[in-house]
Amino acid sequence: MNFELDEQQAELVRAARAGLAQALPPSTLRAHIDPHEGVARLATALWDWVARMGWTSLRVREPLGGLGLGLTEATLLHEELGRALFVGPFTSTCVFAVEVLQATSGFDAALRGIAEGRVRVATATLRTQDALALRGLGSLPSRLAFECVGHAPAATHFLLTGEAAEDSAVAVWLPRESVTVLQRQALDPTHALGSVHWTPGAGPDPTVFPLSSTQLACCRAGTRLARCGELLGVAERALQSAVTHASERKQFGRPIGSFQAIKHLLADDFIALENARTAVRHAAWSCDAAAEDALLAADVAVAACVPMVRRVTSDAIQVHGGMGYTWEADPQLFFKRAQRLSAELGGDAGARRRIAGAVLDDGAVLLQ
Amino acid sequence: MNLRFSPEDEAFRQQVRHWLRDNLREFGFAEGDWRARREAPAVFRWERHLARSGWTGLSWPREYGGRALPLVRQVIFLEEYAAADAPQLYNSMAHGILAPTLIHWGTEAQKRRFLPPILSNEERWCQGYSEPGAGSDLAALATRAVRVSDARGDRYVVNGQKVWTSLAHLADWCFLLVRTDAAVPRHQGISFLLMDMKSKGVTVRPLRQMTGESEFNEVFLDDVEIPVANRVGEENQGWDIAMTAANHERGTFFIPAIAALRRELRDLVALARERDALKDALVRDRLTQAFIDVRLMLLTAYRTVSLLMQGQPPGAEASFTKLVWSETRQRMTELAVELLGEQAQLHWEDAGFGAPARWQREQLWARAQTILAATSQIHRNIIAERALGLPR
Repeated sequence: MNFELDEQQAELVRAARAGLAQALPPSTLRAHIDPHEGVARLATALWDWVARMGWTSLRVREPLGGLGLGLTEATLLHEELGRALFVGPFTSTCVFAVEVLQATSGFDAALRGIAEGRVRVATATLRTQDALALRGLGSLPSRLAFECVGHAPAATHFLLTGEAAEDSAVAVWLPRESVTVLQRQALDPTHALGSVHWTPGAGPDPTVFPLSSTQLACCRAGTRLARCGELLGVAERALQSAVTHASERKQFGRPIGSFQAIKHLLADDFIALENARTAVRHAAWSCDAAAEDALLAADVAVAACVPMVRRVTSDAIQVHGGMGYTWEADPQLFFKRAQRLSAELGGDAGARRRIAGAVLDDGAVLLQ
Repeated sequence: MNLRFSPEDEAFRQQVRHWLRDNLREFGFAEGDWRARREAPAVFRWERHLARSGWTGLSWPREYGGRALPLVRQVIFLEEYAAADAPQLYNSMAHGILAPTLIHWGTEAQKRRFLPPILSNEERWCQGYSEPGAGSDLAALATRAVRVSDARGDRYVVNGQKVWTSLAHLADWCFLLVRTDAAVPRHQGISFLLMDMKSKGVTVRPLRQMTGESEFNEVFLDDVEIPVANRVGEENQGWDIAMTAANHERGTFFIPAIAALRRELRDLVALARERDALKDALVRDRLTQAFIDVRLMLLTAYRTVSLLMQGQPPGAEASFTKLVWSETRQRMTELAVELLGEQAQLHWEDAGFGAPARWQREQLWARAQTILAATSQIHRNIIAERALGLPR
């Protein structure tokens, strides 16, 4: 039993932290968020570097030119991406799309494209009725429209997935030429957002393929875990900024961090963060080791991370005082990134409901 | 990273589980009879039985009678012990705090004298730290020890008062912090002494707790003589020694308590089911939170154990183990008492022998747990200053 990172994992973290500090310093990030259209250009510009770092091939299987590493490595890397407020379709491309495309066959070229950094994927969820039509009837709907698609302005491909029925799901793979993308302004200024429309006849036809619900649930669980990893990084950075400010800012002749009201607030943030880290590490390992309760572990990670990051990023604003409410200070960026990722996770209610079912209704987990 | 226990560890777990099941039954501890498992004379016999059966000193070096097992085995033993609802040990201060301290700081003579009767549970220990004027601010302690050397020997003469001394009325010995130099900065004038509770001048007065029981005490010390040979470490080095001891406490001391929470959670869910409360969405969510808290607490303890097994000091996450445990336990017992409905009005001693009486008692005892071994507020200060580096 060993919770510590091995040497290869520790090296991945070190290289990511050092690399991101150079490739994406705060000044670069700031230079691309005003006006908001700049962030999509930054995402595209960073992608070659991401591929050179080897990260695009992280989850791709070795025969396709990938590294075939686990979710443990993916969450560790996401932690660093979150810390740097990384901009780009990393999770949707290198975790979700890779998991989904590897769950079927016929997508070797696309997977090679992802590994080599030529393919960037934005993802959206199909409405049940569209999924049903696609899966059941094999017919394409007359149009597909999605209002908020993360990273759409920087994507080369789109992957749409959805549950059709009890144990059947469906996925749709679309090239950029087949859709219309309207760039939208995201609440998170470090995020490129777009509305996406598809109608038949524009560009190549979509590729539609079936999945089992279990497969889709596993792909989504891995993606949620990666986002949880990113939340850990965002929270670490926010907490660090609060600690730094509280140590420097003086009122009543003392650093405000010497007051217990501030200390206890930040101590509780630290506890929540470390508990969430435990949950994410454990869940990622459980998925990699195909442990029996891996999906439960992933839900526990979501249930630990979502409230944690809300409190940590909110407290960072509070501890910064008036400065915390300004555009110039960083806490707003942490807060908005946390909110965006939490929304992508669908909040924690679903995770909590599933945990309750697993723990209270059959009781098997508790009796171990 | 690998969170699986090895097949050898799993075999050890089975061995412990079977031994506990057979021996608890043989010892007359009926399943679910939690009151019998708290009776001091029976627990003393059980503690000696544990020792004779080789279940003490699991991680001690062999030269002092230990089994030199890796820490993970000790953790497995503690988990199984808690899962079996085996009696809470009276001599846990000796095993959890004093023994590791003696192994680290003690002279060879002290180890030879004091470790074997701890191992066999023939001598029970209490911890003499807190004083009426030194609670959270432990370094303010004022119990004075004056060194005297004459024909009768080299000794300290100790005067003062200790308080909240758990199990002092049942202890044979006490590890004691005293002031040996009042002229230097306060952390530098403290020494760590081993005191025979039968010494002349020691008076123990039990304090009655809000549960109605008396487990902790006031200890009055009037001209108590303690041989200088019973001092651990150098004179005035006591603070450092107490802090190393506290590190042992941070590392693994609370693992049994956390493991016990798992069983308590199971009991809590059973209570909710029995009271037909599992369909209540709010009760469900509170139970779900308790499940998450307990699971993450145990996994976080594994993180600490992983570091310790690699010979590293416990990480920052170890500093909040006790804090999170005590506050989670309060929330769990509060929910349990709510679920008791009308029965929540009964005093636990009049509530029969089943689960309701136990929850009644535990909800009161849980109030002590956010105070003992440093209050929750002190723990938050420690985390803020040591883990986050905020200014004092």
